[in-house]
Amino acid sequence: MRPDEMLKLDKELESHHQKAAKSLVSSLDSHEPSLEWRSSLNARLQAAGKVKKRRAWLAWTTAVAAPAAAVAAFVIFFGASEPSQGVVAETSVAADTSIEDELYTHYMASDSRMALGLDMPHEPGEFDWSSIDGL
Amino acid sequence: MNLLSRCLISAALLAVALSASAQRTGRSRQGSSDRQRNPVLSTVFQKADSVKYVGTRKITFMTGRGHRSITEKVMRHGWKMRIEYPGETGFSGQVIVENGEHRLRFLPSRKEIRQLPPRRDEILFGLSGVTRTPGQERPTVHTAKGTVIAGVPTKLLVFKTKAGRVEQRMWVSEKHGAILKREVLDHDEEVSTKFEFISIRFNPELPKNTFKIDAPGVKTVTLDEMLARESKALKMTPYRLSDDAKCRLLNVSGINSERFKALVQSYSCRGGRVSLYQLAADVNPERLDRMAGDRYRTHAWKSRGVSFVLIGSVSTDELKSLAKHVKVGHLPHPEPQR
Repeated sequence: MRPDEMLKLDKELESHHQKAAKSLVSSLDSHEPSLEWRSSLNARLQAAGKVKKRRAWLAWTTAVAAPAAAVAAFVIFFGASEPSQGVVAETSVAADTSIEDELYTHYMASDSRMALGLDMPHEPGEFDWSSIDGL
Repeated sequence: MNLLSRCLISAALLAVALSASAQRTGRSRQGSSDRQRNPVLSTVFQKADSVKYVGTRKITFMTGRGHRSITEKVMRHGWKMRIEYPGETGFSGQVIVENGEHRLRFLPSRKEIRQLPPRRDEILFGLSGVTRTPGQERPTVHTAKGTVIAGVPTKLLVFKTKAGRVEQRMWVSEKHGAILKREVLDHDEEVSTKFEFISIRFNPELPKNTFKIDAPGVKTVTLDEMLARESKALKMTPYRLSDDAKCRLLNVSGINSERFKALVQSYSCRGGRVSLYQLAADVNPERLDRMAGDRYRTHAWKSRGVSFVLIGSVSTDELKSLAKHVKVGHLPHPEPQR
């Protein structure tokens, strides 16, 4: 795996969503079906024939298409109504980043400013950054 | 101009020539400009000592909370520069003056002038790509017709890595040797830091006191004092690179995030810029190294319960060697915060 892929994987694995999913999955009981059960299932599936296959295909199509349509409808009706707020996005990014992320970002920002001869003005405690337009 | 600057300009011109030479040998076959010398960048270096202008530019940089943009007024003559902030920015009254010897930052709210080393050498390093990590190839410079910036026609210079990733873009007025717009890009080719002139006037009459700060009774704060002050605020015993490391301290700052605190010192060393981070938190060296990719080198270690990280554009061996020079700093007693 390439370093940048490992980096992306690290970030994704450390996100809150992944942590929540991880804890959910790890809390599930593990059921290992016996070989006897599997062979009886195979026999039943072979006996079911083409009609069952067609029904299964229909069931799968419905199962996939219905949630997809629901998601699409949700995005159309709710997703586009309000643009996402920058503050919210920044907060979630900050919550998902690691110390190493913060150190690297800090260094890269400082190195770029230094190369361009730029300075951040001194920020008084009360100053509201939101009054300055973003990128 | 001091000896170091002369050496830097020579090195920078050599780097430009080498880059152009590498292009001529056929490393890149895209566009006729690749096979020519790069006269545009040479002009920037040649006119750096005499270029004179007053203008307004918009700077954009990264912070812990995303990108921020600020407008600033710039007056420049050669390597001397004065930067002020218009009233609507919220930073009105703050002044930065680069007078050839120091970079002075006047902070009226704190009634102090912070005395830093000049940025001239760092800007030269940045222009020439001299600070490439050892073993890494210098970027190739591609020239194209640029857009009109602040009413001035420009040439566009694009700095690309061997893999074709764009690292920097520069819009240069060839006539004046001035960079009117400049962008630094990150690994994903997203602009991380940039500036762009909105208006500019060349060869104006500048008042005699342009490169002075008239603020009687204001205290001048040195970098040593800043380090003492910052370490006291973070409740850390300050460590620093000892003199025998032969690095020059450029700046001091602190990180006080929800997750950790860090004392940060930026140095200019023989091979390039290096930052020392001192933290009271654990750091994963492998992860940090992956993060830095091929752009920077990192070295992290722990001593007496304190984590240290060195990040820079020098080799890993040099970082390890510098780590041996990290010692408790002997600093002046900080004055109480205002």
